[in-house]
Amino acid sequence: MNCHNVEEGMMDLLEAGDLASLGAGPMAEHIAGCPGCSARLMQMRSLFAAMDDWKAPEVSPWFDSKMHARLREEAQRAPEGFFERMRSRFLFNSAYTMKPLVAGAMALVLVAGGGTVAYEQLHHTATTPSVAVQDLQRFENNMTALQDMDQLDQAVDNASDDAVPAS
Amino acid sequence: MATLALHPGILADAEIVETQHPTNGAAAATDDAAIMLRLKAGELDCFDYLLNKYRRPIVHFMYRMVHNQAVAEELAQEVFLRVYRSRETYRAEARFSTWLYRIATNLAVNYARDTKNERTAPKLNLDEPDYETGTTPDVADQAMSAEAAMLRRERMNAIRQHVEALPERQKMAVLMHKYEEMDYKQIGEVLKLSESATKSLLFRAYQTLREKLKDFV
Repeated sequence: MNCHNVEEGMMDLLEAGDLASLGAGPMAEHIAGCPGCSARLMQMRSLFAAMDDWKAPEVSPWFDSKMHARLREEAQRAPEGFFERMRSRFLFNSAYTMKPLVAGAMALVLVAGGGTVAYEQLHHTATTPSVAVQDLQRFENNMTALQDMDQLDQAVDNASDDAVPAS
Repeated sequence: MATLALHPGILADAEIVETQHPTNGAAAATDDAAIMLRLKAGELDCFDYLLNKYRRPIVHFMYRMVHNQAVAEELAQEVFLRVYRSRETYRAEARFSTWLYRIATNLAVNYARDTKNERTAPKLNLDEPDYETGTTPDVADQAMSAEAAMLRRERMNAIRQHVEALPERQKMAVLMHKYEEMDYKQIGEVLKLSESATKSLLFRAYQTLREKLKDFV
């Protein structure tokens, strides 16, 4: 038993009341022989006693009548909207399984939404070439077309040469 | 909703209940949950039972959180109003008092956050009624000398200020432990901490207070 152990067990010591109620255990022995721990325990006890001085005023005699007035207003109020009800349930519900479920559902929505957006962007990028690439493709297509036309012209020329007899 | 009427019998029983501390005992916890379930089923007089039982501790807790009696009572009424509104969706998954104090701590924290810039240092004039409570300052009993009374008042102010200066969770833990006499398990359930974490939190809070208040204790 050392001072660190006593410090860890300080709250239990304070709950126990006086040192005699601890019995003859190692903690009581250490405190009896350690001025530092003994002083700390006494200071904590003094603190607790001093804190008893902080009294709260008594509840006012009109608390109940005000409470019932608010309950009557509550009864006459329009019902809360959907979002307000959900907010109240999230903040003040007695069901402790609610918050983890809602947190899980929100995480799922985020992951699904993010995944969908990422997939769409990737897919869009893969199938839609840039403007520069489109221009080059167009240029290549035009060159091919021009070459085809040249070949046709040559073919026509060759055909007309064969048709004209040599004089 | 039918009109709520106070049954005199409820109040008579509640006077006996009020002398006992409401947050201790497994039997009390089961009773409160059972009464809340009866309220859920439509027995509206059960609300008065719970109100009478927890009115004082909740108001006192709120007073020590917000340092203003009028605001404390208003917030306490809001706590019970929330309980009443949530009666149809109530599920007895934990102690009723745990749920009640959780609502109370949420409302107190929201109030502190919303009025952060409005709060000023509390002033105390010996010859005027206290602006927070409407009562004249406590000058203790006749046997105490003026000097002793002044020292006592200074000590009380110092305790109030240093508890107020604690981090939010430590402050709530100290108020529930010292003044509401809740055990570590109950406090842990309200603050969503384990029992050992609650003990550790309380120890750090009391250590801080011991350091700050060493001139007064």
